[in-house]
Amino acid sequence: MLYRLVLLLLSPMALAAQEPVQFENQILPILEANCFQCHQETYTDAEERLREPKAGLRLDGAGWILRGSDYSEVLTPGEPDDSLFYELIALPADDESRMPAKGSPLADAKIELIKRWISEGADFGDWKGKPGPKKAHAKVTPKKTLLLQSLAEGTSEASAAGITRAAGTLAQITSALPGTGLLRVDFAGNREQVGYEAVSALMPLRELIVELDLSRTKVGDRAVGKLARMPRLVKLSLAQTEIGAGALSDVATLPELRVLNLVGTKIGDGDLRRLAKLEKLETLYLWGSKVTAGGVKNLRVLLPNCRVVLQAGLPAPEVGAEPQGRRRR
Amino acid sequence: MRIKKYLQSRDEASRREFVSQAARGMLGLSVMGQLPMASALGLKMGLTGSDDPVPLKPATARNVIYLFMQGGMSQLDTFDPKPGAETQGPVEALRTNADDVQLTQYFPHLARQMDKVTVVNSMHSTQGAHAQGQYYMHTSYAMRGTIRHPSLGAWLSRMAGKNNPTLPGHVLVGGSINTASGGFLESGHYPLPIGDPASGLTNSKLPEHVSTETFHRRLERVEQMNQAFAEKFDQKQVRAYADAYQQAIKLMNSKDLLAFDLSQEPDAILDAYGRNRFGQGCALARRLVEHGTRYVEVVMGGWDTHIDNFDRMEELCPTLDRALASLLADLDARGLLEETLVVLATEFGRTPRIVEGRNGRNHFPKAFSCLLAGGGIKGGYKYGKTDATGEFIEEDGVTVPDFNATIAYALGLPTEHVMHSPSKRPFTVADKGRPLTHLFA
Ligand code: HEC
Repeated sequence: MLYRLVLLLLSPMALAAQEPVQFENQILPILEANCFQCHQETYTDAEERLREPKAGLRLDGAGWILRGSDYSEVLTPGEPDDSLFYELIALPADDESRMPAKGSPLADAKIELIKRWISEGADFGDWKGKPGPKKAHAKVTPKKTLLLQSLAEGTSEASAAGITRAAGTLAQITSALPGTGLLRVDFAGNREQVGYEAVSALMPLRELIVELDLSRTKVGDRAVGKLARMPRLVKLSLAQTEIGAGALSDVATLPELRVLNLVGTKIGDGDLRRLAKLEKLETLYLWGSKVTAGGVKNLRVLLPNCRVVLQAGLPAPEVGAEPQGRRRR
Repeated sequence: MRIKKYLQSRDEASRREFVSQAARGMLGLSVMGQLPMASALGLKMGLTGSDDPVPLKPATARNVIYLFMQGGMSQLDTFDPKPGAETQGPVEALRTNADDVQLTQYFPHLARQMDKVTVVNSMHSTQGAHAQGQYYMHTSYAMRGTIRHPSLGAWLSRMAGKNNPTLPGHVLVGGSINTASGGFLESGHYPLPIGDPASGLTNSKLPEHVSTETFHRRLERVEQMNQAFAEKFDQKQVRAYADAYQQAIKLMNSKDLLAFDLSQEPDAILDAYGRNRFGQGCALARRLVEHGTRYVEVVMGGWDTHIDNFDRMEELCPTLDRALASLLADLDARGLLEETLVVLATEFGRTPRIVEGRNGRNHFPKAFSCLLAGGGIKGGYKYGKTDATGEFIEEDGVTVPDFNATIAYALGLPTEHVMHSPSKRPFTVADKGRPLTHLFA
């Protein structure tokens, strides 16, 4: 250290210490010669290999240097001791974190120059280099997660007994929002065995169920009647079940329902008005039900904000394609 | 003193893990994790990870249908057209039902579904050869001689478990197990491979000469042997093997086997997807997801268009157009798209420059396109930008790990959770990738 200091005092730069360091003339050449090889825009090297900037750190533009690496900022103007940019080049030669990562360390004079440049405020002068990164995109929490988070407030966790009992009836119970008590329930793998009993067994959990998939089960109107007591149910599928109009009256009392799936049911145009109370309903699936375009039109008057899916809009078969018979076993 | 933190962070993998383990221990049951919690109560919830639960994150999707365009799909001729540019060749651009999104002329059906899709036009990869590129895209890690990394489907299976206990959680239609592999995870997380979608699961019925009774007797004997074996060598692999075996048995006796049987579908639907391997594979993927399989990969080959690129596009693109448009429309009409993330990926793109003489395009990992749709992703959205020729990324470059981290994020898989290979080395889903959360609605 002392040796370094002596060197510094003797060097011509020390004499000119009043002159601020000029980035473009004094620092940039050091970076070009010692760092660019690993810290510039992705390029293809002589062996046709793609070279991405190490640690995501680019030193070939002012914006990039200020952005830092994929993990952190590397430059704090005025504070060399809080700048990895300096700290890593000043490490002992045998430290494996020392930069440049390969080859010999920078000459002491160069290290001191970089330190001084940072101390003086890391001014890039007119130099911009390669165009910098766009502003980072803000982190977004998906709408669905936000909704569940708000519903989770004030809930208590499911009692283990309740879960055991419900699971005894073939339900697949998973967390709808990890860290909270909210639950998702379906019956995949056991659907044919699910009816009134299975739905009744869910009642101890009724406060916590936000998603319930009863598609292709044997539930009827009596079972659906039970659901009316689920205050947080957001998403319900009754697709391909035998439910009738009566079930819709019970479904319509669900205060938080956003998504209702009635695909392949016997529900028809006349039954839809029972859903008018579902003010929060966002999506209603009706493909393969008895509902017609006319029925949907009437419903839109009652629920103007709800997306109603009636048709699949599948591509028409290829023109001129050989009709192929169905393979039957 | 940033450096202290820097030096510490080199040990971050182990630190993170310590924290998460401590949290798990403290929260115990109250974490309400997912399957693992249920298994703590002694419930049967499939074969996954019950002895080492992973704390999940909020998810926007439950399932993934991952369409892999093998060979390196040309971005200019599909999802990143450059109308008027010399590099575009004879291919024209096509408007879609989403204002900001253009496709090429080959995608008239998909053009009507783009309001459901996010196009990522700024993908870049570090790998320019097929095997390495495919491996990287599937695992987020570069191929090594010493270790095999799990693909996303295997991570999902390991971390979040299965949905339908009788169906495999992870299925691969077409393609090879080398890319979509379980890596160092137990065999139960490997995909079930299906060669031809139209013939479904072969060998899943009992051979004629074995009566059900004999079968069960045999099974019991195997069971006893297994138990003795497993007690003696309580190894994950042994258990996984026994589990996989149990799994196969359950499936054979289950009505869910019909999930694999495309002849259950109406002709009109199979026609819409296209009567070819990829189209039928997509139809099968939809059936499987509907029945509770959580991750299905369908592979479409033929995209390595070094020669006669434009003639090849005329064959490849219409097949893809029809299959993908049908898949999106079909999933949506059934209410499945909102919980199923549809991904279209490829190992790299192709050179904007057209190779003279051969009329082809070469490998190009510097800028290419992938798609995301459903499962909470924004619709009618375009992300990232290449320049007027397609040579350079101008905005918002997306690395392969970032792309995979985004899929993991949709599924609620914790990208910072460290899992160890049997050789005790630390790995995470999507390596160091960071999710693009702004792609979510
Ligand atoms: C031979 C390649 C190579 C050269 C040359 C090189 N670096 Fe690095 N650099 C790396 C690698 C690799 C890492 C990541 C190290 C790690 O993650 O452990 C890194 C990381 C860094 C970091 C820390 C980023 C972070 O937050 O993790 C800084 C700062 C840095 N380099 C600065 C420089 C400077 C300044 C030079 C020139 C004097 C230089 N590097 C030359 C390879 C190189």
